[in-house]
Amino acid sequence: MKLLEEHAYEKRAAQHGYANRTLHIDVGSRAITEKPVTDQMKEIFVGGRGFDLWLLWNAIPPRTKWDDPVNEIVIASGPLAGSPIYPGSGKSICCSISPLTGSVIDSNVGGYFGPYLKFSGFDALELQGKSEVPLVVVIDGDDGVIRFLDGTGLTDNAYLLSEQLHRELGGDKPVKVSVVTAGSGARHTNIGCLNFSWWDLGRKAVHFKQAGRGGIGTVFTDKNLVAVVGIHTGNALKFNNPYDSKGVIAVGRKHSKEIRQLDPKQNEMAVLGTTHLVTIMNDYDLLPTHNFKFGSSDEGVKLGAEAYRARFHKGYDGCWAGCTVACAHVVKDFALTSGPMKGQPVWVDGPEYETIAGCGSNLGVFDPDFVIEMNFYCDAYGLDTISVGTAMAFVMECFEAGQLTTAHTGGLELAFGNQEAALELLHQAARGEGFGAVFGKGIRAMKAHFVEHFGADAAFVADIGMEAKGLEYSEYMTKESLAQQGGYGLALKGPQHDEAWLIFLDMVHGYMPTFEDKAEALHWFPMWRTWFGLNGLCKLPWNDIVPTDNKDTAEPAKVMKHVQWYADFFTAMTGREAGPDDLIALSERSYNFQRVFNLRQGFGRREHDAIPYRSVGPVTEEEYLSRQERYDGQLAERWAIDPAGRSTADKVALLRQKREEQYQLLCDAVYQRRGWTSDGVPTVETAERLGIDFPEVLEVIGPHQ
Amino acid sequence: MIVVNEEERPHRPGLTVLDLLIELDPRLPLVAVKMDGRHLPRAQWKDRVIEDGDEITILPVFAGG
Repeated sequence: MKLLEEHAYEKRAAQHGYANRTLHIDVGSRAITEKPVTDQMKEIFVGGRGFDLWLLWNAIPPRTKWDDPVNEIVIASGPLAGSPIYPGSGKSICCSISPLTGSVIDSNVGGYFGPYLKFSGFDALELQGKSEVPLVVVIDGDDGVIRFLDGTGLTDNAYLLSEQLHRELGGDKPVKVSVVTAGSGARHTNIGCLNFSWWDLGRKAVHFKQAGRGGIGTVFTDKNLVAVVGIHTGNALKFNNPYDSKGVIAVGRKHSKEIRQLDPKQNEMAVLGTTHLVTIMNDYDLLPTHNFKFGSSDEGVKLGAEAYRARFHKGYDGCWAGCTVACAHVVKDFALTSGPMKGQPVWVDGPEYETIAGCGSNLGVFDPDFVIEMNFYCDAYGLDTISVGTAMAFVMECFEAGQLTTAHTGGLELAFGNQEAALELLHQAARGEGFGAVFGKGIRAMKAHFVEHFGADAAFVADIGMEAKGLEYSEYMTKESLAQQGGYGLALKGPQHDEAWLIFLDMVHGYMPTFEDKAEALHWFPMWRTWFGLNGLCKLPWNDIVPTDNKDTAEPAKVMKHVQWYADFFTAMTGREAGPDDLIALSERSYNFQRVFNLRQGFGRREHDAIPYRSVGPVTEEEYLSRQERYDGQLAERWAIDPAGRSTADKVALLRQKREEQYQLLCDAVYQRRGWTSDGVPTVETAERLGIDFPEVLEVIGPHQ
Repeated sequence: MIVVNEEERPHRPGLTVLDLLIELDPRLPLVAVKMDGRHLPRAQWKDRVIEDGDEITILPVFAGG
């Protein structure tokens, strides 16, 4: 690769978890700018996603489009990131204006890039502009140099490119490299993801995790970026220079020890990752099958943990050093059956639960090897497995319902369960060809296209197309959990479960009987989960391995013992005294700021929290009849409607009316709890209480009070 | 003897997994059961008879997502 330009910068050690500086790169002019991290930034936005939002807000004008050169990708870690003593501390959080939603998207990801960026001297990286040449940006924290390399001729296969860059730029120490890439699929669709790599010392191979949601990979390729590379030798706690190292070590060891003791007895995430969720979700009618029509299948167990126990290669699989959850996992020497690498043995990272449900059961496919192949190509093409799975399930239902025919799909028989057609559609999407080019624009665009060009039934495709705010749903059934309907519908970026996951509490345990109870949960849990993104942490160690006495505590769902540990970790790292309530308050600031940001982009009101009816109740008579006893019982018991003698169509309509009313009542309760207007806009009083009442914020929310 | 969440309990012939769960605490916020290290699908709880020496883990799962 030809060196185009390089800039030296002053190396600087982090203090108390902060590098105290961010880096702005204009990839068009190749100009670099350092920006100071102010005390106010730390106080209000903490780091990670908070820094992303603040930097992006200041970088773009209102209603910026995703492909405007001024749009940015901002990548940050957080003050607690890069602490190998504490499990799950290697997260990067990426923000941009999304090609799917038109508004702010945030997506978190493992891998070593975020910590290496901080150790190289920067809490966050802004990538703005568009490059004329395919560009590789290298942030070399060892040499204190930022290099721009000509990426012309490099492969656009993320799997191959990551390996190449680790070896070429890392020399005999490929572990000091982390690569951010997208791929050909990201370039040709709106559902592109970013791959964040790390070098697996044990297997001497590259692995990666994905910042999957919202098409940030598409923005990346639109900027003509081929790769962004972080280089740093070493990953020890000392690089964070904690305020109280002994305190960090003490609480980190405590949490790590507990995970090592309990994980083998609980869900075996260090062996099975999140695959254990498949059979549990299937047990409770929560595993999406056939485009979220149903929540279970007799075949669901075929995609469960035991299938992957037999396929995962044994070894340490933390996506950041020292993590004891170590849930990443890989399949070795998988022989691909299709596509440009057909027949080649490859490493496949994953699959995780979301990919299994999205690219498996939701497509009516119960073959674990098919899921692995979909997983591989999505990663290599730089495509989000969740959006691919949910969008493909939508296409398949449209096909089976006669809304699409082979005349529209270029001959592809896209019926549920057709593995060959599904893979061909994926390959077409990655090439931007045929029906794949339509598919790659995402569900919201497909709905409009099918209606306008194929004569599809607008109401039907609106009901079954599982997107909200333009983002495809992640892979949980919500029909029987009103709280999780809100968990998805009220999520700032669109229906992704990392903001709130309340299904078990609501549906299985019945802990939230009233609207107020649900609203309280839809305050506390999104705020708490937001906190992980502010700090560069993974949420899995919080509640996927729980203390043995947790069930006897007052609020077992909150796992308060761990919340206290996180508060201790935060205090020891930053020197900023904080208890559990303080952490929630910290999150509220960034959370509400993001809602205001949505408003500034032209969204962020009640109408934008609408959700498709498939996520609320049965759209079709087939769905109703499949759970008739349940639905008849609800009509009778909850709403005193005698189902006897009524047609199924009549009962579907009645249930719909009631459930949609419930969702609006839930929105009312949540808005009130969060301190928002009845239209879902933070009030001036809320902005003042949180200290985000900047003039430009008041200017945005003022007209909506 | 059987082992339930690492505690030994007397084996009772004919006891099913569902019987055991109800006996332990009918309000238990359980959602997942492992038997001899493997997830036991819910559909099998009613009929799966616990044999002498079986190890059972009851997991109150709140996670996901």
